[in-house]
Amino acid sequence: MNFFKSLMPRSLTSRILAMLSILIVVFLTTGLGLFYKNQMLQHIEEIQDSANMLIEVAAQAVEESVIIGDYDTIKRTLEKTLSRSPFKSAMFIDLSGGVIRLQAPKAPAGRAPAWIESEVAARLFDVNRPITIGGKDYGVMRLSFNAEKIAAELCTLVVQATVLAVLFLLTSLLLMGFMIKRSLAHLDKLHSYEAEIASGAVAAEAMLVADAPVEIQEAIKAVNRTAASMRNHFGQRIESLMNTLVQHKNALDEVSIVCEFSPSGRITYVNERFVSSAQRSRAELLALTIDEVWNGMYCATQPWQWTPEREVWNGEVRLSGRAGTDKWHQRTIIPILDDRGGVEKYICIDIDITDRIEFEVAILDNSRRQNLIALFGQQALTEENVRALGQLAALTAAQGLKMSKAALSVVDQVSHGVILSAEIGLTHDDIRRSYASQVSSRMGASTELAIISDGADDTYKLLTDDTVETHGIRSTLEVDISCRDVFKGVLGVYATTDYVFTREDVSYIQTLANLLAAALERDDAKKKLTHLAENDSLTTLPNRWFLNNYLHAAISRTASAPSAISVIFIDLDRFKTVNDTMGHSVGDELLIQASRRLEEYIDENSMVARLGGDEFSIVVTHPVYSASFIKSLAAHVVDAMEKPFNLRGQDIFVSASVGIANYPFDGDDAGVILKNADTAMYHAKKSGRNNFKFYNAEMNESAVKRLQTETLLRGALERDEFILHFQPKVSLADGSISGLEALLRWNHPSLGLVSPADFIPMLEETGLIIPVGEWVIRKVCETLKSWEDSHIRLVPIAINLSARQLQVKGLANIVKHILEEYGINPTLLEFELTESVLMIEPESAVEILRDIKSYGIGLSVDDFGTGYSSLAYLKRFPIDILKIDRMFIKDIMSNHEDEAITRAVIVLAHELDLKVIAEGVETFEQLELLVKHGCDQIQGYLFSRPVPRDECAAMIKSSRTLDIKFAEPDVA
Amino acid sequence: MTLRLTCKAFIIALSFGLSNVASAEDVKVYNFSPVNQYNLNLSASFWNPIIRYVSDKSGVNLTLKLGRTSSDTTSYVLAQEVDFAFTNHLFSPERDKMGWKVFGRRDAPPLEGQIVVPADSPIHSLAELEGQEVVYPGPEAFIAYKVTSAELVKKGINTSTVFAGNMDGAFSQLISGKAQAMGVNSQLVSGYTEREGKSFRVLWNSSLFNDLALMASPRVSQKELTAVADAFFNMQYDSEGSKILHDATELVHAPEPIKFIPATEADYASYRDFYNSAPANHK
Repeated sequence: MNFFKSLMPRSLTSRILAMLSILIVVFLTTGLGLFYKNQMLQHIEEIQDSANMLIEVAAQAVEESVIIGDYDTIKRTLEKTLSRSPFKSAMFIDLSGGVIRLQAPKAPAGRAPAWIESEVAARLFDVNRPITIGGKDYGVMRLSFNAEKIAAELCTLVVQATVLAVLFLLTSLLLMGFMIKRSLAHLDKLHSYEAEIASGAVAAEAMLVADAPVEIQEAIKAVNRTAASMRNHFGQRIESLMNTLVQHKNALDEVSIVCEFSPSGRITYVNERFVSSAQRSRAELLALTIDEVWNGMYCATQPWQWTPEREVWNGEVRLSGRAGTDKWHQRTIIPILDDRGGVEKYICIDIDITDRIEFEVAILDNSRRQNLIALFGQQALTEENVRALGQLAALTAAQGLKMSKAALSVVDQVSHGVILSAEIGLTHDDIRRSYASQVSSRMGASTELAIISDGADDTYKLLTDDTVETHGIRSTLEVDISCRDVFKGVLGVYATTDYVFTREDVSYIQTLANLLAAALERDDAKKKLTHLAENDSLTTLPNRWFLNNYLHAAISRTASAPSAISVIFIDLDRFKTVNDTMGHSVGDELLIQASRRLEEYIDENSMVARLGGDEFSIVVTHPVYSASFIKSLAAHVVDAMEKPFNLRGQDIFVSASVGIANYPFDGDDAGVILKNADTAMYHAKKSGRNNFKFYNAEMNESAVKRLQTETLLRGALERDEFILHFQPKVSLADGSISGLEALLRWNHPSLGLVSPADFIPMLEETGLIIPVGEWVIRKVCETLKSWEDSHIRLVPIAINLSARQLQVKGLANIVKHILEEYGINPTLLEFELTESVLMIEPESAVEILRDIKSYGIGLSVDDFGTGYSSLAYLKRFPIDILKIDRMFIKDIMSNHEDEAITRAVIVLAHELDLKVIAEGVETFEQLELLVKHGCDQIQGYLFSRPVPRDECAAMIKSSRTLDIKFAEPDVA
Repeated sequence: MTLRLTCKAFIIALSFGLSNVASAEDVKVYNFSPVNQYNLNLSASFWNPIIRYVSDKSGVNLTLKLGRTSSDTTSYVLAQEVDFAFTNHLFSPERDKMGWKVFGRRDAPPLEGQIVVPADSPIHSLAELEGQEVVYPGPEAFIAYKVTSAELVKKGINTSTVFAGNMDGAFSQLISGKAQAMGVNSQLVSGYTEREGKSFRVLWNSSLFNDLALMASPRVSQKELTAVADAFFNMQYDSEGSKILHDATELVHAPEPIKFIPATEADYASYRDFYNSAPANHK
């Protein structure tokens, strides 16, 4: 490609001529080629046609000659045919093969190229003509073409035509070249136009020549238009640029402090802002170097001095001016280079960033203070030691304001004494310790005030005048430490210079003071909560939680200082009765009085706590254990509680059961010691109350056994381990069985038959008595039903009702449903209740018992005479039978009083229309006496101990009777 | 010694002579000249593959010697330059004496000589040709010239005779109007109509003549003649030969597939009959 480009002529004239030459040559060659070919074909065709005519003419002459055998004439005819003909040869061939052949003479002309000759020869064919006369053949006449000669003639023709064409072509090109060159010569006008422009004649225009071709005229016009447009366009641009430059310069002067100085540093130009910023006159500045304008220049914290450089310098500098105030400039120094690359001058552009820097410093200060506040806030939330917190507050105050002195003072809300003070850069003695009363209004009615207002503006000063003077303090900032308008103290910071505290400074110190106030408030609240958590609000004695901690701490101390610890567990006897009968407020009063009595036995080695309810405990720490001391203390406690308590004008008697356990003898853990003391107290209570017991290991074993039994008891009902025994009641009228008392028995697979005294109270305590009681009712009904079905005589069966059962709402309904379920006559059922059961909630008991009674079920009072023996309830309750307790029957023969009581009861019952049953009858003498006193029925081992159901059924079935016939008394 | 040398010379001469004879027989080539029924290029394209095939199959060396006109073909025969010809110019009583034998022909229906004018010509009868120019392929054209012009002579219709040289030339002169009528054989009329899309009106039909005959000169041995004849006749049964025939048929737009079948003198008796009754100047 590059090769062809290199062949391309450089001038436009040459290029146009070359292009035209190529075009003409191509078209001329193609045209001539086609023309020559057509000419040749046409020429050959004409020759061939001519030959056909020629041979016909010649054939006629030959035919005439051949008939007569005139071969000479034939030969001459052939000769004539050949002359001036395109034939190479002419021949006559007779049928025998004889040939007359004549050759044309050689042509003098030159020969055509071989390819033309072969082309011609291929298109020319010999011309044959049979010589036939009257159907008889004499031979053949044949003419052969001279292809060389024809080709030579054609070639000559082509050469001549080609020469002519070439001449024509050359002439045309010369003419065209001349014309093109002449036309393009007009473009030279543009050269002179260019020269004019180059010489500075920017308004010049290229000259138009009238006879120039239209295209060139248009081109020159376009150049002129373009030049005019560019002149206009660039003129506007340059003007705009100049305006912009001026505006930028003005703008720069408005906001920037600009000067120019030589490479030696000498100032050569300053703008107005530079003059005013430097606080020097323009003339004065132009005589200085850049380093001499300000008293000192600093880059960050290092002194800064300008040094000649070839690079742009950029940075922030602090300038100390004449007036002593510092300013911050954002400085850019730009070297301006000359044509040789040397520094021609420097332009210094400063922007005053003093406000920004100060703002940044303020932000940083604020951020630092916020961090300090945050750190202090964290400490205020977590630090338990308020003294350390106060010290930290003073330190944080001093650090936040970058001052060397700070102090604070906090006063007690009640005593108004200084309870906390802290100081930084000062001594403890520098802070006021005594104050006058000018701030009494701030502190309430108290006259013992901690902080004084020294001035009329009610400003409180922590420091004495002497301190201020001694330390050279010139600026003070003090703020109140208060929370919810409660004044707690003062926090202050102090400067030894004249310092104007800003609003931010005050806010910072006040925030610290507020945080400290909140922390103090939290500390107070914590102390109050601790007090509440550790003390009983009723008696103000320490509570169980405090006692536990105290005990743990005391035990821990024994590791370093071996000692013994005694825990005295005190439980008031009959407190519940007082509470139930006289009301809770009276009970509370009793507890308070008991607390005061117990406190009288407390010294520095002991403490007393209320554990809850009517339980108290005294913990005594002995350097050396003294059993006698503890015994004495316990006895004093028992005695103190035995004395009457005057409650609401009444003397109320209660007592105390006291248990004692000692560390480390009775346990090595606070919980164990307390539990063992409780166990000992339980035994004291079991052994008759109003006494004290020392713990021993056996007590615990019984307690453990009790716990095991209780655990087993809980599953006994599901395991069907309960059974019923029945003890007959005997009518003293005829000695027959008049009724039965159902008695619950627990037959455990491994423990065997457990005593009712061991498990019945447990059922009561655990509440299991309710489901077990219902089971008993069902079982009794089932027994009655079974006996009825077996045609055994039915007698009423009595069931013991406990106090817990009587508290169950709907007991009457439950009983009714069970009776209906089994279809039992209600009169066959009796419920036995003790006096105490009836007295617990008499109102509800009356209602329930009346419902039960209304069904026809009998009611009896068990153990009559051992409790209240209130005659009133005999009237209130729908009772049918009184059962005289066995303790009266037991000694009825020997104790006159028992006999009298028994007799009185029988008489009383009969008078009230009640039946009487004597329990525990074991001898005939007892029986005889009871019969004598008119008792209705007896129950006891005399007739039968409690027996299993089947045995009892057999007894009834056999109609066993008691012989009650005695010898007739001696009746006078 | 002399005798011995003489013998040696004789033996050498004889051996040369024998070897020459043998080599002459080995390279013996027969020219085959068909009458040019189309134009030179078309005729060459038609005959060259056939002659090459026959030469290969028969073992007889044949070359195509094509003349521009029927006169050329007849001249080649008269000058004894060809030994095989595809022609119908050799049935005159005089030429019978040359001893050429018919051995085959194209399997085509017999032809008729026809005098035709263009379909749009105002001429509708032979009588209207009086004084008009009638073009013929050439004076040697038997059916196209001799048969048709003899009829005009018999009818006493005087026309101006024009020879175009070959059949296509004659058709060109008729179509261009240079001549008003044309003597032609019916096969060529239908072929031309098929090929060029021109239609003609037939003014006169002759009796039937079989088309050109495959003929051999008496110089051809019987064995060679049989070999060549078999090669022609079996072309249609050979894949290569049938393809050549098929291409030839397509080339000249022949109405029926071209194939060669055996023929005898009897197939061309009608020609001899014509010569017996033809005017003297048409024999």
